[in-house]
Amino acid sequence: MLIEVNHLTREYRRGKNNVQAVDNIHFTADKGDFVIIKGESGSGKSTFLSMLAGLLHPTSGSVFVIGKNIYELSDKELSCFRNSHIGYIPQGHELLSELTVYENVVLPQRLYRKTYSDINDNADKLLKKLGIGELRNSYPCELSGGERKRAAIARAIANSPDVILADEPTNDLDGNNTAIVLEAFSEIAKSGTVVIMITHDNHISSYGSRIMTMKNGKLV
Amino acid sequence: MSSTVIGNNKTKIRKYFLGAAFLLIGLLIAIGPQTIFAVCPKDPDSMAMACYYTARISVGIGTVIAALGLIQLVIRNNGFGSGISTAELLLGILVLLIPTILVGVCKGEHMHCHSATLPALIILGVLLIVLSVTDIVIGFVGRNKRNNNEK
Amino acid sequence: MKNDISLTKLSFINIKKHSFRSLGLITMTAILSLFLFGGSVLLLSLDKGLESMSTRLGADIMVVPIGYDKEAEGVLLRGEPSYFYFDKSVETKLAKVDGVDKVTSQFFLTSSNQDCCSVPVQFIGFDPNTDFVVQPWIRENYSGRITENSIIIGNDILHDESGSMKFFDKEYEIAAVLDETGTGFDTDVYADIVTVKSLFEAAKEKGFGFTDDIDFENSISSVLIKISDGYDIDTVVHNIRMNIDGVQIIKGQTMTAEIADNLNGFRIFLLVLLLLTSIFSIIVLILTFSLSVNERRREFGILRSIGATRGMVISVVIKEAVIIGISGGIIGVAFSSLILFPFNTYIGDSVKLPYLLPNSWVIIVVIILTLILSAVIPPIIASCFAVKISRSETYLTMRDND
Repeated sequence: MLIEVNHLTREYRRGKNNVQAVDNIHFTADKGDFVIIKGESGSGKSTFLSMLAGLLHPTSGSVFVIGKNIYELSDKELSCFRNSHIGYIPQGHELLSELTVYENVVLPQRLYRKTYSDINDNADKLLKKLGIGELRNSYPCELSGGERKRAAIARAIANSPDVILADEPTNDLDGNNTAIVLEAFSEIAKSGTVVIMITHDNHISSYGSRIMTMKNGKLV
Repeated sequence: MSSTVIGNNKTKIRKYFLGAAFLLIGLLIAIGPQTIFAVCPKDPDSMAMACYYTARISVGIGTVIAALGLIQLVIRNNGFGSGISTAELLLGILVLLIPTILVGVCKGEHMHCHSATLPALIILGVLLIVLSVTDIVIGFVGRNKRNNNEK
Repeated sequence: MKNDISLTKLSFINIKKHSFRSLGLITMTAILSLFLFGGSVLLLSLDKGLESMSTRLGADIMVVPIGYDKEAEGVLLRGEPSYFYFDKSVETKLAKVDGVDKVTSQFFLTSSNQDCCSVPVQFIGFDPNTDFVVQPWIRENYSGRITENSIIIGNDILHDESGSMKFFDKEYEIAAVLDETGTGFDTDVYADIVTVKSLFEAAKEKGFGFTDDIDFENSISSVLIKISDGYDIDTVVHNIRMNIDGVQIIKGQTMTAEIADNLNGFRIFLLVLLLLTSIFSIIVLILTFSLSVNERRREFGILRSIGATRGMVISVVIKEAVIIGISGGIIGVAFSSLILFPFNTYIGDSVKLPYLLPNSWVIIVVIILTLILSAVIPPIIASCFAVKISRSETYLTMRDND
């Protein structure tokens, strides 16, 4: 299994009470899986996804990605691991506003490579594939919501990761752009990458190979 | 915001900044040698010294420099810019030459005109030259870029 | 390469993007470095002036006619030409006072330097046979013996290339020009007593009378005294007062002590000003960096989400702060230099204290230290906030700006 989650729990303090945002989740995913996790706001989807990405420490439990318990790694190791193996698309403003689309896509590759010539400059190919090749020199503020999302996807897959994690990628998108994004994920999954996407939209089940629901911190 | 709009904004900022700078420098050159970095007082019973004439001439040149700065601020047409900067460059050179070669100041190092007026005018002259040369160069580079883009 | 992006380039881009804020930060750092550099050079110049004054004074005690101590100080400290006289026999009497080792007399005269505008110049005639003050520092610039009708001039005396100067229509050869001291010594002209006498005669011929009843042959302006080993100054001063009337006694160390007191007052004022400016600048830097780093939580979250380590995120902030610091430092030093060096003479005249710019190496060291401080203070402040944010969970950081 590419991803294995055991007894994953995350608690928050809300006033005097402890709230379990993620409650003892078991989960697995393998190559080629396109998992869509649905659920209402506050069900714990984003919290769960961020723990898969190594961006939020669980209160208890473990997350194994490609056989590595990511929460036993140091910050440096985890960051490097995330850079190489995990493509994370956050909710909302996903791009760095001061960089062009091209620079945003290339940046993850540049973090651990000393010179520009070391990187695999596939950014232009990816942008073209996603239909935004001509926007390479544009800034995020000049793009539409759908174009920004596609640029974020290009950034997430530029390093050829094993796992893509997308947090509400079709939020604020119209039907056409939603279809483009979901098509792109399907294709990526077909190439062997695990794609896990969370959404509160109940109408996009047809694209995923697995549909799951999250409610009150539990995965159904 | 498109790059053309950003470019126009930058040109406007440059125009107002330069205009204000020229105006301020001109005023300092005009009234400074009479006030804050004054030349030696003229003895009514004897001949005026060189620094007295330096101060008089500075009033004229400073006024012209300030007036050009004011024109830069007030006139809408951005095309005036490099013309005014060229004029300010030449005036800046004149400001340098007047207290040093053309007219001069008292030779005594501790005379007020030598210790205060002379360095003040030199600094203002150099500042004027640097600002105007910078503006001319930026304008030249910008025009070249636009010409290349049009081609 | 044009297409390249890196975290360093990201720092530059961030500075450019937030140009107004960056300009504010650079201005604050520039103000800090302006006061640091300017204040340091001012203090060093005053210290050097005091040191050169103490070295030049030479004598332990100076004796002048009664009531002329202020004029004497004016001559020594501020180059205010003056002349006053008392009987030459005072020198002989002083030599006999208990505790006095050496005595030498000086003769003061003022003149207009006809090489330029009518600025009075102080002539100081000394007796080459007894002098122990003037000749030691003349020897630094002139190895020969000072002959009749030759003069040694202070650094600020105007002269042309001809190697001679005219006073009262008489020509005198310039044997040497002394090093700058930043004190009244720079506007003095030194010659032996015989030459000064001839100048006095030349002045009389031109109709310039000093006081009608000067007995030039038997008059002197001051007596300089070196005290014997084992005696303290106050004892010798007391002995002089007991034996000789009609004279004013100036202790060399009193003069330098008074200057040192004034200098201390000025030093405290400058240090307080520097402290207040530094505190103000640092507070503004803290507030601005705090706001700036907090505003960018989401940006840092995105960097972390694509695999940047905590160190990388902090380095982006630190690099920005270093660039801002160095830029501000250079601007501050440049502005400070624009005032300190061209207006050096004016500043020295205005503070009315001995004032001498330190030598170039010292100034270079001060520049380097100022730039180092400017480059170090902003990153230290910025990193405190960046470290704090980088320690929090990335997911929570990204949601903070929502």
